[in-house]
Amino acid sequence: MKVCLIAEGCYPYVVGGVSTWIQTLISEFSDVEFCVHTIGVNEEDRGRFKYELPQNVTEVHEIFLNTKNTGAKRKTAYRVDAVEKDVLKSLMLNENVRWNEVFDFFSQKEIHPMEILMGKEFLDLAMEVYYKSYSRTVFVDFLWTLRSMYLPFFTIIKNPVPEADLYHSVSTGYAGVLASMGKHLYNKPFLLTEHGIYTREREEEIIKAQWTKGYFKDMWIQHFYKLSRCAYDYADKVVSLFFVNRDLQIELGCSDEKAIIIPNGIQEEKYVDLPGKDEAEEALAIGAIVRVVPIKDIKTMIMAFNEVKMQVPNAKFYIMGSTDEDPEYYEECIKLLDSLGTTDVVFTGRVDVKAYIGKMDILVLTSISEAQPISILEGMAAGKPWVVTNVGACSELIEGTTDDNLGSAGLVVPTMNIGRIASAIIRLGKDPGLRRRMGDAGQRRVRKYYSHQDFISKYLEMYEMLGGALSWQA
Amino acid sequence: MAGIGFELKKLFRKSGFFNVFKGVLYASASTIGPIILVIIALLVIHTLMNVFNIPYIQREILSSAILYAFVFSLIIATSIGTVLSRYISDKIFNEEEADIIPSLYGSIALVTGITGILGIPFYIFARLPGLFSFGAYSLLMILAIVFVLMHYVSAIKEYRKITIAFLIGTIAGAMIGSLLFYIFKIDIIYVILYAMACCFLFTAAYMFFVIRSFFKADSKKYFEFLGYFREYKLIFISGFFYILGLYVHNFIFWFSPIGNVVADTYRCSYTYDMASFLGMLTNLSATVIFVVKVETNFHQRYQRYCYAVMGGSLDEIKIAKKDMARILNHELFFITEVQLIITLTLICAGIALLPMLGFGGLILDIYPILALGYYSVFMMYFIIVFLYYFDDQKGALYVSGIFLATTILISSVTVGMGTVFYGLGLLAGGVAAWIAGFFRLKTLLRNIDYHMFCNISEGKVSE
Repeated sequence: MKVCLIAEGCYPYVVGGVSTWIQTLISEFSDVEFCVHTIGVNEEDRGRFKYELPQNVTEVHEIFLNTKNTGAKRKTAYRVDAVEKDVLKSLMLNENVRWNEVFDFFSQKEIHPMEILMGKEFLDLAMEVYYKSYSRTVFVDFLWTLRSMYLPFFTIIKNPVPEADLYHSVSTGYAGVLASMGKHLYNKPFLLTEHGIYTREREEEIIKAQWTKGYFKDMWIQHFYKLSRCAYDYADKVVSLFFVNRDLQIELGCSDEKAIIIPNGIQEEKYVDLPGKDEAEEALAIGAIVRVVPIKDIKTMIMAFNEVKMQVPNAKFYIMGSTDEDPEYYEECIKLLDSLGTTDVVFTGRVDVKAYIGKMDILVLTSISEAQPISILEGMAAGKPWVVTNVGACSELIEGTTDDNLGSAGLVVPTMNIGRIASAIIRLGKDPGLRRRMGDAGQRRVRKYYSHQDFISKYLEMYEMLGGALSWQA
Repeated sequence: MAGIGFELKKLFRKSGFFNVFKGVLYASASTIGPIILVIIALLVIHTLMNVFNIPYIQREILSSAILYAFVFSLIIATSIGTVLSRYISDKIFNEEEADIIPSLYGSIALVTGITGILGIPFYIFARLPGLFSFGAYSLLMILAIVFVLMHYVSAIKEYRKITIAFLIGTIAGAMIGSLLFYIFKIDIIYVILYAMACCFLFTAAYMFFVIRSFFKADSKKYFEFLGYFREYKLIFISGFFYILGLYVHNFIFWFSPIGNVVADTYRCSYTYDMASFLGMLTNLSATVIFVVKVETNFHQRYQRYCYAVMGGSLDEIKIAKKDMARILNHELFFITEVQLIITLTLICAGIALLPMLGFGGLILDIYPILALGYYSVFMMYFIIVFLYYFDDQKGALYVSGIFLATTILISSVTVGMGTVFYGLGLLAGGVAAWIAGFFRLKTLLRNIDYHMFCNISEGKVSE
């Protein structure tokens, strides 16, 4: 069986949860042939893989959002005919989008995105859209916003996915559209797994963004809603990792029959008998398994540590993760530490967590945004209590879902709340019994609901149900 | 070009006859200065030749030398001038003014080079006294330089200074002429020739001084402007086609039954050349009307349209576009009507009065056709100006190409037919190109949205 795996902005360029998940999946299904179709951001990243691709990856196609290759101007520019214009119109007005015809158009013709975007037909359509909802804005700004929205879109879908037995995309957005295209062109099934909800993430980014004006932000957000809707409509099954996200998907238009949950899983037996703390070590070891990047809100963590240190003088903090990803942010964290004067804070860089987790007493995660962090599962498997912020699946992992009465695996606190984070850490720090009870609850939960075996067998079921029997001739 | 219109409008608005007169004077100086100059020069020379009883043959030689000097210097300078003006205005707009002075040196060098390549062999093989050849060649060269300089002075909008420059030149020329004739007792023919050359030398010197004091910096990029010829070769070719077309019918008739050979050197046609000179004179008012009224009115609406495109809503753009198109139509019709009346009136007056001034026979037969011919040529030229406003370089090329081709074709054909058909070449060329231009402009305006938003010339909204 050949699976076309479609990823956007993660694998294999960025080290992180989703990329690792993909790597694990591909490695586990070693009998399946994978073709990786990946969408990156900058052309410079081409070929710069942060993961060694497993043997069963037979093809890699890379496309980039920011590419110079938008097609040179040809002698006779392509003229969009009346039917095609109507199809584009449905796309641009976001009314009963004729996706099938959009896919046919882009796969059958030799399209140069700039040619269409600078053509008369597109201008006419732009004016229609303009009069519909944006007739008070500056027209030329509107036109260029529209062009900048569709340029990456056209660039990406003019590189259709190859034929495969199953299309598995790891987000909605452009990846989801590509998978939908594959399904339509080759009449093969489409499995969608969403870690974070792409649409919500883009919406948050755009709201905060400086690079576009207020009234155009709405246009961008609607554009992304449109892309996800396409994926939800075309997918045969839509997988999320936890309940909150499933609810979000349904809210965004996914039919609830398609929506299922397959949570992340880890091989918890590997985390059970890890090297523990030195007997002689008196200090309270508090650890965070995070890359030093803004979304993990390291700065809040540092400030919380600072408060903890004042109450628990023999505490030691370990920030275990790569510091290379955002050197600027790392510098800022160092400066913050210096200005606070906190001692006993260690940046370990990228390490093998298994060597360190066992030595921790408390684990902390203060991210602003998360899906279902593997790091929490790892910590729970190792029997460590957690202090986590209430984002994504974190509280579901720590407190359990409705029919789970295994107990709390830690304390859930609000994001960016230095005081609450600090007091949660201090509470755990002063109560070894609580730590042990919570750690045990965590272990039991991971074993019961988040095992690697379950994860693999559920995806195997998916693949077989949708794609047919699993076998691949070398 | 629009710059002068606005200055003049200001002048005209200040009521009073004197101001109006000043306005017309300045408008004339910059747009039709060269031709006025020719008129004055020829009149003066005509008078002098009568006063000093110069033999007919010598008159012919002198007139031909002057004619050749004017025509060829104008063709060379104008062809280069179209692209040069673009270079200068771009540099001013981009605030890279240090590049302007060296381009002046460079363009003077270029123009001198071209006149040299063409003029020196011509005068070496001419059967003329060496001193005369030298004078005639100098006149050619200095006129080319004057025309190039005029482009620079126009760019800095010192139109008044152009007038002053010619005045200074005239006075200097008259003084030197008197000196040469009365003190040094030199032959009147040579006196006139060299006095003219000096006149323009002083004109050029003054204009050079004006430009030099305006632009202080010098970046030493003498030939950077040559790059513009590659980038704007369409503009260059259009300009060349136009100016060549303006005189090519004369060239053709120099070799016709009514052509003359003067001193075995110059080919001309006294009859045809005089008729075309009079025809051009008849239509000069068109240029003044265009610059003062037509272009200024249009320019305002055009600017409003550009601003709307850059920062307005679609409704605002549509309104500005309608307004601009309306004004364009209105102004074009205005000048077409008004100038036609003027031209027809002057033709009638001419037919009645010119015999009294000594013009007779064939000249009076050809003159009305050529007058109408120049009328249509000027109308065509104005359309080209508007095409340039919308950066339709291709359109301008088509129109000027049609003009040149038709003029050459029909002129050549009519040479073989009777004299009653002479002059139709120019008329046919002008009318054909005018019609072509009109439809081109109409289509352009209809598709102006596409033109503005879909041609990837970022922000080339000029002026």
